[in-house]
Amino acid sequence: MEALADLWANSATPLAVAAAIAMLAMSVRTLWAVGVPSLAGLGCGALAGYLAAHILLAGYPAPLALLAGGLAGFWFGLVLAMAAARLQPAWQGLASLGLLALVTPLARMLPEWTGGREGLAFDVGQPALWSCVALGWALVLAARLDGSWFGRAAIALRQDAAVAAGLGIQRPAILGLAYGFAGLLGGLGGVALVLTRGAVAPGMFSTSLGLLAIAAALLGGAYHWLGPWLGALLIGLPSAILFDDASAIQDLAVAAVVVAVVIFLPRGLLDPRDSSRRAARARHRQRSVVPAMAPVDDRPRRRRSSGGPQRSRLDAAIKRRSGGPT
Amino acid sequence: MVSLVLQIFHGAAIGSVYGLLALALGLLTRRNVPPNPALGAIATLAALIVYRLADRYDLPLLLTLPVGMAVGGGIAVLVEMLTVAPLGRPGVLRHTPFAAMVTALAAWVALDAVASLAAGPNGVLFAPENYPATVFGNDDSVVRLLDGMMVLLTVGCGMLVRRVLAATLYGTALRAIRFDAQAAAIGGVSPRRMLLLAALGAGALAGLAGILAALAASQAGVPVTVELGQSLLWKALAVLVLAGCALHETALRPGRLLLLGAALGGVEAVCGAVLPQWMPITPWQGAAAAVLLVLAVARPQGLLAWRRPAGAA
Repeated sequence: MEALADLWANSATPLAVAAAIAMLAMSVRTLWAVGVPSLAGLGCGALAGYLAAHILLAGYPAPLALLAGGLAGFWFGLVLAMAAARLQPAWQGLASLGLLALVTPLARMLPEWTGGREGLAFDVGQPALWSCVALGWALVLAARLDGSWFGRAAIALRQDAAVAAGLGIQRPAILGLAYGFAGLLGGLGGVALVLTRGAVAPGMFSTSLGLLAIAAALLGGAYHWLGPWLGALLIGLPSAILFDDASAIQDLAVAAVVVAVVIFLPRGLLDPRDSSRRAARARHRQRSVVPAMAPVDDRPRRRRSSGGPQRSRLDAAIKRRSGGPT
Repeated sequence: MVSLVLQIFHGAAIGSVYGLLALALGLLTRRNVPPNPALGAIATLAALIVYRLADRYDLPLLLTLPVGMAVGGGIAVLVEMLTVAPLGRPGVLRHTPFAAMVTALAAWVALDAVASLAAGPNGVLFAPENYPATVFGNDDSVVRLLDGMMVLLTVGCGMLVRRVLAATLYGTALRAIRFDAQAAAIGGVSPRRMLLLAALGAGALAGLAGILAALAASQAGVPVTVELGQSLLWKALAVLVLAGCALHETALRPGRLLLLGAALGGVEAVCGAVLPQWMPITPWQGAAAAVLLVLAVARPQGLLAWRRPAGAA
């Protein structure tokens, strides 16, 4: 029992950081589901992180900070959706990068709210536990969203916006909801990150963190609801163990992983297309009443037929089925 | 009054460098592919390479400047190959802007990391003997030789790019690719080859912008760090969006970009002179990013375009 307690004490912080990265990756995936490559969830995470820091400094418990951060992220996501819906998807991504670039100078300019360069520090008991609880909520939400009408409408919208409109899918509504859910997940991730670090500072929500979230989503598989979690486990956990804070070496490694995954493994490790193909093959096998025969090659074989009394495989198959001697 | 006018000229000279980087960003912008932010990091890297050459081997600026531009062009070609390559591979990502966006972001973060390793925590400062640091006038009214050099170089580059875009087959092909790469390919243009050529030019322009901005920063006593490229990038993006050359798929207008950049630099100088308490917004990237966001939302076609924006959904 003591060994387990020691193991938890040693691995709690990296696990909590990985959980936060998983939630941020889920927010990236939620927007990608509607075809928008955006880091808006991280901006929502920054807002939620500062809000959570104020709630914790006021003496309220961590679950309330998580709840408030998630709701604030959802609201900010809806606001961003109203603002960015006019733009093309690629430009929405660039605008989200601008939002991230705005976070650091804005936090430094408003020291009475954000604590300036030093940020806000606080003390919370069991931060890793609350991060893992938040990750559980986020996973349940992601799984339910994938199976819902929202998930199906998002896929239709991503694959062909014109066809989706023809099917009666309202693009602004789905896009707004996607931004809202991405904000909710990003808000939970931001609060979890802040809880784990025990402080919130201007440089915490940078493009490096955004790239790490993208890498987790891509590596695990952005088409499966469990993909970001797997990616965060594979890339977020080692980076949390090896590097205390964002460093140049970490950035280089993550960038290399991202480029390699985009080129060689574009659908990630968890690909729902593979499982659906396997299921289709199994269904096909079950439906077939007559056992499938081996394909018959009835092409003329010049050398072999000219060389002796060998019969073609087609003749052999016909005689076998009619009951004659082969 | 003379002092304020000279300050505005100094700001306009620095602002023309923003326009130069905006021109580089615009060369690589096309339908569904936003500007490549890695060009900001390329600007920093080119400046750091020129610093190493000048500091270690005591080479003159006339020699190191082309080397820095060539290195910038080479890195941009490498980045473009990494960005374009996934789009040509079979897979679901080729149909989305995600691949180009993600690889460009990865290249930006990686190059920024390399630049931060090269610059060190405190940054580097060009020695006055390594660049034209001559200053005319007294303490109140100062004219810098470097400002004149910056204006001449940026205007020269702008005219060259305009000439290439407007009067050569390369320019026609590049404009065709900016509008529709598939249609251009059917018309006999090789998009990959043209984009690599465009990346070479864009990288060279970004390198020149970074070197000039680093020289100006060194003359002001500000060390060159990785924040130089980041700040320059957001200002250049703001110029690109303001000029309507980003979201609005019209021909790239180098003159408009340079003039707008100079105007923004002049406004920055006036703000610094009149409202010095507001200028600690350094890096100025926050304000530039805010301009970018507001404009992208409120007027996607930019301030200087009047037709319906093709970039808006």
